Amino acid sequence: MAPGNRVLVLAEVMGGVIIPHSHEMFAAGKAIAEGLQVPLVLGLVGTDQDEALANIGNLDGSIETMTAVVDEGETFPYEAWVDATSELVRSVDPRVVLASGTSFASDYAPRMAARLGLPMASWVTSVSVDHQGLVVTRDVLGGRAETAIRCDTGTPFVISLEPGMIDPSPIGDVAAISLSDVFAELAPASPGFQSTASRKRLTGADRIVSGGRGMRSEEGVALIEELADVLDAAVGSSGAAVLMGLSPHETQVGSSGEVVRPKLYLAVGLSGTPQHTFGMRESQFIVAINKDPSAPIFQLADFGIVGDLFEVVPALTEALKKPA
Amino acid sequence: MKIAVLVKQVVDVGSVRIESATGEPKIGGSPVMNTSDAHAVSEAIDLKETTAGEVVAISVGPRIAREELVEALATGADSAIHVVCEEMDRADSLSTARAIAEAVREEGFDVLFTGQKADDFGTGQVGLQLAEMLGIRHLSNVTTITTHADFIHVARDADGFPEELDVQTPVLLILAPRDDASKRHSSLRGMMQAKKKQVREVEPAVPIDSALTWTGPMAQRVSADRVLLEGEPVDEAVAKLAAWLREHRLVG
Ligand SMILES: Cc1cc2nc3c(=O)[nH]c(=O)nc-3n(C[C@H](O)[C@H](O)[C@H](O)COP(=O)(O)OP(=O)(O)OC[C@H]3O[C@@H](n4cnc5c(N)ncnc54)[C@H](O)[C@@H]3O)c2cc1C
Ligand SMILES: Nc1ncnc2c1ncn2[C@@H]1O[C@H](COP(=O)(O)O)[C@@H](O)[C@H]1O
Repeated sequence: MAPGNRVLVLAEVMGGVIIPHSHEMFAAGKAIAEGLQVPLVLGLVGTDQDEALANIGNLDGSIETMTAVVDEGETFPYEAWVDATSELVRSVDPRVVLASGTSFASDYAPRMAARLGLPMASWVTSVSVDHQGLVVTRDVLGGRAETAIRCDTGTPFVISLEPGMIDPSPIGDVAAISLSDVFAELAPASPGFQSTASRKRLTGADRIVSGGRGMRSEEGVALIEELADVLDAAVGSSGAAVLMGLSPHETQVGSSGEVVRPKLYLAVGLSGTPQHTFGMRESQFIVAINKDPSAPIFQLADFGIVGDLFEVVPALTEALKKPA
Repeated sequence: MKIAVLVKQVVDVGSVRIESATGEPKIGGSPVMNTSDAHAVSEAIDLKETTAGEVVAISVGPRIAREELVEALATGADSAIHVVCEEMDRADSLSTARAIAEAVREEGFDVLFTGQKADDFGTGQVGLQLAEMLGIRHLSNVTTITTHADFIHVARDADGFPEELDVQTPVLLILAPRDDASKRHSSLRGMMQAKKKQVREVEPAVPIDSALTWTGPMAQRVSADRVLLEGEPVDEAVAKLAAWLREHRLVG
């Protein structure tokens, strides 16, 4: 299949609603289409697209919309998605296809690419266009490094985005849901952290101590807070800690939380996923404490200790209390 | 029951160290079997033991990738197919899946196992693409498998949504990530037996090539003099960290 001249976004519509991640795909698709100076086609794949189309209202006139109805079977819903998306791609004949990067889509997008015989880069973290065309980046080696990928100009290129890494755009009149709001809403009501009012604010803090899933419970949270206190640091957290109800959303660092640049970022019991490192990798000094030596956060760290936070953190707090 | 298990040889990502001068990753240790594939090998052998079947391990990779096939044989697989390809840096998921599809198409496998994601470039594509090329169904995030007379019962857990279903063969099963405790290992006896088992080497039936080009991996952030303390007594490690924090004036 020789590449046509359009960029196709395969937005997912579930029960008449365009899912939040599709707004990120739309933003990336627009940027690529502008960069390549080719038209953008918004494909609405799923169920009840009429409702979605009606809600979109005023879309930039240069953007064509197309729909593909998915007739989901009971047991293998992905089959109908492979059929619908493959047909749509065939009929549009695009140069670039943006497929969804949700875990649901991970069950159909690679099959679609195989059916069409097209190369695919999955879980892309950034897209840009230079004089040679589209270039995307993605994490490799378990988050320790990244690589830039290009596709021969003679072949259509399928990409999927790592969710939560690209700022979403509104689609016509449908506002983009901010992921930060999604996290704020999903976060359980009474987190273990002390009320943030009594703590230092993240933004502008010189020092931040952040805890992740590894804190496990309020006991772990207390250890992080004590360390933050001796360092006179603000307390941050990972998305997982927020969703577990350990930390309030205001403390979340990352692509759907705060982007911070302190002198010291001390990451404890968090692995360093792309969504998290997006928010802290510009910190001046990074320290990581994690029991898994292969955690990608160590790759960013200037100083790392491989160990159990329940042993290392209290010992560190004590060591810092003593005068040097 | 005829069972296939895909095995990729990958770099030991835990051994990767970033060169501070260039930001390039340097691979320390020897190559290893992809973590999720090692679990798939275990699961395939479990299934074989309950169905009196046979397990064939399959890999696409350079000569040295044979080590992982031998490891699978020593763990209990019965034979292996090695699609020899020296230039894996020209292979993308699509071409890898094609090479595997052609190597297994005539074998008549009832169940094929793959991992979810390779540890090195982890595209999460090869299993699904192979299923598509073979025209069979796949199930991802598989946690447990039980066999019945003419179907298999599969439990899966996608994003915390547990589900159980009966599937007909042939089917391709993509295992959910799991922890190491449940894994089978090769044994000395297994290694002796592996010597008598066959590793069939084949050429890729289709050229392994890609329309994609990628730059060598680069670290996003390079620390000029990184310190990583592993296996030190806790009080010594924290004393060093406290001193380091003070030296860099990072203490309140
Ligand atoms: C759309 C979207 C947006 C997102 N936005 C954000 C965001 O803005 N910020 C964010 O952080 N996440 C975000 N996420 C979530 C992100 O994908 C990860 O789920 C999250 O970052 C993981 O948090 P974690 O590192 O704490 O948990 P994990 O990845 O589970 O890591 C836990 C770590 O703790 C270590 N550990 C466990 N126990 C101990 C112990 N006793 N001692 C020492 N170490 C221990 C483990 O080795 C592991 O490395 C987003 C996700 C999506 C889908
Ligand atoms: N070169 C290969 N040889 C054998 N199996 C492979 C190869 N590459 C990928 N696989 C299988 O496909 C799974 C997913 O890999 P990937 O799509 O590369 O993330 C792996 O866990 C393996 O089971």
